[in-house]
Amino acid sequence: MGESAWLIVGDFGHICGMVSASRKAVDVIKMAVIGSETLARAAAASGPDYLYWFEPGETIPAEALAGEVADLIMQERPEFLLSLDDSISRIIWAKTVTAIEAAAVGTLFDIACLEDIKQARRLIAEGKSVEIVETKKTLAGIFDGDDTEAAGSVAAINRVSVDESHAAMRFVGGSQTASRKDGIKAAKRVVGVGYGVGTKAELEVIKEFAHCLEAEVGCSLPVAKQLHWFEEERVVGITHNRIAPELYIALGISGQPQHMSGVRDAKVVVGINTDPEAAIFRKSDYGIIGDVSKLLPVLLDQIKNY
Amino acid sequence: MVTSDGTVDWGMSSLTASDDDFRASEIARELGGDIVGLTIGTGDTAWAASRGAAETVLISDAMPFADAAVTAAVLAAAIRKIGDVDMVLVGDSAWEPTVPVLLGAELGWTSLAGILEVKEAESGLTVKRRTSSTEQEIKIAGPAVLGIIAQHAEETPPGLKQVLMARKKPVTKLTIADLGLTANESVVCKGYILPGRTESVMINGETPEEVVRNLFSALHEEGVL
Repeated sequence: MGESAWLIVGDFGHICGMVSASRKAVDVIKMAVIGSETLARAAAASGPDYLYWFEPGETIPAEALAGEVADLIMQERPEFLLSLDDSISRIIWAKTVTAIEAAAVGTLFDIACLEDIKQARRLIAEGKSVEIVETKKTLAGIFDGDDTEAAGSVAAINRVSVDESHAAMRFVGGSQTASRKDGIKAAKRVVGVGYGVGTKAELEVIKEFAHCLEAEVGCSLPVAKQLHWFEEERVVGITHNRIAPELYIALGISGQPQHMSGVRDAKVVVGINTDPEAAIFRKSDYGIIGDVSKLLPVLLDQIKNY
Repeated sequence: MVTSDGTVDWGMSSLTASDDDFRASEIARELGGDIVGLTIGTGDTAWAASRGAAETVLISDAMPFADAAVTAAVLAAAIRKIGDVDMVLVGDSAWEPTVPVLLGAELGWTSLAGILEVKEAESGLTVKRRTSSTEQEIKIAGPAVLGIIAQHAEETPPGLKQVLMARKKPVTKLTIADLGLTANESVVCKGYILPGRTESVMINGETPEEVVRNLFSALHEEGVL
């Protein structure tokens, strides 16, 4: 057997992207999935060579099984140990990193194996540069690259029996199944409102435009926190709502990393801003340099007749 | 500083706290008890002291290592040296997603990330955390390392007077050697390259009407309109 990578999946994320990045660097991909059966099935469809499923049940969080995952992976010395970037996967990954004394390089989007040297590429300095790092130890990192389509093969699911009795953490009031998948999280189209929109008077036009477009309205954090134009539940960004609509139209949004990380899974992003140097024009598919207040009536008029 | 070929020079930049660290300090004050600030390298020793910490420990010769596991090991050693610690609250920043979780693993304590709130409960703590699809309440037993995420920026940072008062609070300076460690870097930087640029396709037109028509036509071609 050649080089191997272990991948940690504790929540939904860029599972296929992590598998395809690993496929370029190693011969064997093994995956530990800690979570529901739905998660395990989605992970199996990403096409790893082996999949081990730890089901935490409804009373304990997935992180309580971190030690059991580490025990399994410790039996090998994989070349790479990668994790999705959500808070559950990271906790479980960290337990294994410490157990196998891996080198933790932070976030990464690409890996390579050059004999006994393991290499990773990662975005640094707010995405302005790519750093290439390498180590002779097991290279551990958090995958933050783009997602891809599934490769086609589906892995068999090997269920690992778990012991819940000693868990140092439990859900309050038993199971937690409430879902927030509604509103802007589930919308196929979202119109984002930023500081550059100008005045509150534009909001009615924006809402009507969104209605005609069959879109939900989201906003940037300052628009909710400082202008109080919207409730915080409508904030788009890494700490509030990560959304994945087919179309995101950003009105007067500058394109700060905090906001743009929340829309990185959108299929098409349109940015409209008066400032030609705005970061939004490096992070959107289509850009219009212009005043939102002048374009809005035209957008509304044409969508009504579309 | 990033040069035209992608090379990064961190020379002039010092370590700063994030909004997530601010929220961590706010939770520490809400919970009460003795608060100790812990920072490394060029971190500001008055930052936590002006937000409720009675004292601060600085590991003066440590800066973030290329191997985050080494950074976490240094912090863990300092926490063990401080002793009698019930809880570590640390900003779980999107830009540094590894040190908080590695710190929990290094200490071998109960560890959770993505935490919004912490409340005292009977025989332990209750935390609220966010996953990709839901918010959950979890009861945990201490000692614990909790990665905290902020919902908003700090609204009223400490004023000049508070910062000056904070500068008078005790600071314990330690070195990596004081902690009985040698920081062996097993990760080396091989260089930098520029990221592939993804500039927007700019939509133009003689009139606003033409611009919007061209946009809608492009979106139609993409299959999203």
